[in-house]
Amino acid sequence: MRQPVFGLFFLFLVVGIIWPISIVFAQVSSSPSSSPQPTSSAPLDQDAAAQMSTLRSQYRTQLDVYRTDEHNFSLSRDQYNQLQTLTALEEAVKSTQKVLLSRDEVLLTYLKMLRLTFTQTTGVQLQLKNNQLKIIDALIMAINRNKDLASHAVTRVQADQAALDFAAFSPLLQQISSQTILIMSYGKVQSLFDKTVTVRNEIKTHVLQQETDPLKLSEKQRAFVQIDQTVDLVDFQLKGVLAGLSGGQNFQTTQTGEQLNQAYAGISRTFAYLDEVLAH
Amino acid sequence: MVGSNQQKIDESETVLINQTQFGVEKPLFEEPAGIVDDSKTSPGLSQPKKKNPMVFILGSVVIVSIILLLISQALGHQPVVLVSHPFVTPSPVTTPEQDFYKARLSELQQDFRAADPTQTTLPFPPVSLSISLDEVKR
Repeated sequence: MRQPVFGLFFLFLVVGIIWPISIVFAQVSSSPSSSPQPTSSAPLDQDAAAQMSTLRSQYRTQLDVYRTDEHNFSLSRDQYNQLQTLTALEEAVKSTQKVLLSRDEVLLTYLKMLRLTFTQTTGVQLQLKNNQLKIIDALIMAINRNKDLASHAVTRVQADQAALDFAAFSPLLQQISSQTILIMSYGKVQSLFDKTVTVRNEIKTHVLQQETDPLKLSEKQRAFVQIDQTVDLVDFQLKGVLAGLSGGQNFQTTQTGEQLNQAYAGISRTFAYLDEVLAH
Repeated sequence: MVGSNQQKIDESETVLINQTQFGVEKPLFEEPAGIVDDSKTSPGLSQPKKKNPMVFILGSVVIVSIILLLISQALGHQPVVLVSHPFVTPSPVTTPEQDFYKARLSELQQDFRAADPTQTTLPFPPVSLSISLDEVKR
């Protein structure tokens, strides 16, 4: 008689403990602190993301085609160089036309991706953004014009003309690309800095209000003096970067990039300080 | 003499004896009949019955303590620290507001990694900027 009683007692004990444990483990595994979801920091909205995805796919395909065409161009050019026949020349002209067209396709798609990403970047002053977009649009127009020239280049002279036309604006391509990327980086760092300042203000208010021990309060006040100095320095550095970027096409990318890196490092220090203040 | 000795023995034992029988008549070298004690005749049932609940209770206590230990390890609970000084009340490890700000800082640090100026997702395409058939002449 007593055996089933103890058996039931044991069963209830096990069920009463194992079931809540399973619930606890399920909650622990699904809690945000244990498995943090990475927040999307890409500035693209959904439509822009879809466009970007299409452009990237096109870009990869066009780059493969360009590599093949460039290889063929090299071979046919060397062949004409050796044989000096009309047939070899015809092949060389055709392969030149092909590679010029495929290069223009690659560059056009790249500039479209750059333009799309740039329009979605936050933290950039409107005038600076508009000026840079105008330059990118001008380059896109120039490449389209060159593409039209290359598509009609059936003779050696026409192929040379298309090549010369491209050479007139090609130095700007890399320069504008670097500048645009730097402006986008500045925009991201500036946005991050603005959020950091907001969080710093909130943490400062909270910490100084909550602390009741006079010794610890003065310690934290000194800590915030240091944090404020770091934030002010970053602000100064970012203003210097903006002044450099707004100086037109002649700004020194290297120097401005260094200054931006320093501001970025300053933000990292600010995070470390705030973390330390919250921990104590 | 023999009867008196046997009486002493009999008095020290709690046995039922046929009192009408004389001591002389008592058979020698035989064990006197003892009282039939019901509790002693079946040793196999009573002791385990007393031990069974103890086994279950002890086992349950051990299992519960092991499970509680596992729970505390899983949840990362810190061991209780005894405060030696009775007059100092230690401040709490974290408050909900501190956890909130720590979470915000954690989110900002993810944005921080994405804003790295040295990282770029759009490098300039690897194309030659000086393609020309005119180079053949040279």
